Amino acid sequence: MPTAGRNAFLSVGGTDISTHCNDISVPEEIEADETTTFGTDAKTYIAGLADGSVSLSGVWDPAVDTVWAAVRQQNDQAFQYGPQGNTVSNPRRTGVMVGTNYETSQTPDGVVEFSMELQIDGGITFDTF
Amino acid sequence: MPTPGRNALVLVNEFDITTYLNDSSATEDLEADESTTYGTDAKTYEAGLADGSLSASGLYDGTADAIDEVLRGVAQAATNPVVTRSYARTRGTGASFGEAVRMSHEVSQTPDGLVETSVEFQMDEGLGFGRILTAGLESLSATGDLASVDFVNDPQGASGGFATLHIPTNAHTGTVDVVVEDSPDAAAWATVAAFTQVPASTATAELIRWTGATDRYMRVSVTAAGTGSFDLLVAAVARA
Repeated sequence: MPTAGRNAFLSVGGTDISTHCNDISVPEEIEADETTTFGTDAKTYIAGLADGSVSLSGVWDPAVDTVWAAVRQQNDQAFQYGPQGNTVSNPRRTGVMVGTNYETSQTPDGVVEFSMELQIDGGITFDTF
Repeated sequence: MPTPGRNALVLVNEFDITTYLNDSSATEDLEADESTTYGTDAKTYEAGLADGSLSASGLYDGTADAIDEVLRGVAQAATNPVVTRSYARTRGTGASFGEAVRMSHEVSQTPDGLVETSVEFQMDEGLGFGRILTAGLESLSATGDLASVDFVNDPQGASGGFATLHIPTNAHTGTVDVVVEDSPDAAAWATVAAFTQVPASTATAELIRWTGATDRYMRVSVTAAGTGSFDLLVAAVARA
């Protein structure tokens, strides 16, 4: 069943940043380590290490600077992401991360915007709120 | 609360290049050093070094004292430029700033448009995402303490901080001393750091750094020894 995008919940470093965001993505990549040897017609692989990141962007507010200031150059900062919101039993992606990029930008005909990139440390846990 | 983008201020050393620009951004990159070892299912990382840059672009102007001459002069100067970008002109608004160690400057054009210019500054010792302690470029003429800025939930750590000062226009007949002060309660103030005394009628810019803890409130205190006005922009950030 399709899920409306407007109810996302995102917490960075313990702070709910949802109301400042208008774009969130949380990709997880699993390495595929090639095991192809002689005698096969197709490449073979086994699953390797997992890796993940969090990308978010939205409308800048001093509160976003505060979130970045708290997590920058700090290890094991918590994040929680709920595509459907943070109501109990909703799906949740969670883990710890290190911040890797923060940008603010503006043009005369819009509002000040921000984007932030977080490197997930040790993988994503898939559970529920 | 959203901040309109149209009221940005961008200063490079003692030059206000705001009115030439229509796009600006500041980026901080932090290295994530991989620490993955045997026995884990997912990659692990440790926070590493920070790096920052500040970019702006807009319309070229080749007349005397306009943006092209300003940026060429900055690029050829012997000292690192001080750069501050304020998101708006209200005291306490966000700002990104620092000291640039190198810059790239480009002019471009096509037959069907205007000549454009862009500049990117590579910051030395990082980029600050802080707040301005003045009401934009604030016109002052006398000794006094400016209103304070509450950094409220920003980390008040013990890792010091830094501040930038720009005085692009100075018709003051005496020296000007500008000091950054902090306070835990906006009542009892102490000096955090002091900018170099500005001679009479001198336009200037400077970045200063301090160590140790910074309290929740910060403000600018000005001692003006003469008469006449000068425009002042100060931005500051405290590190966690």
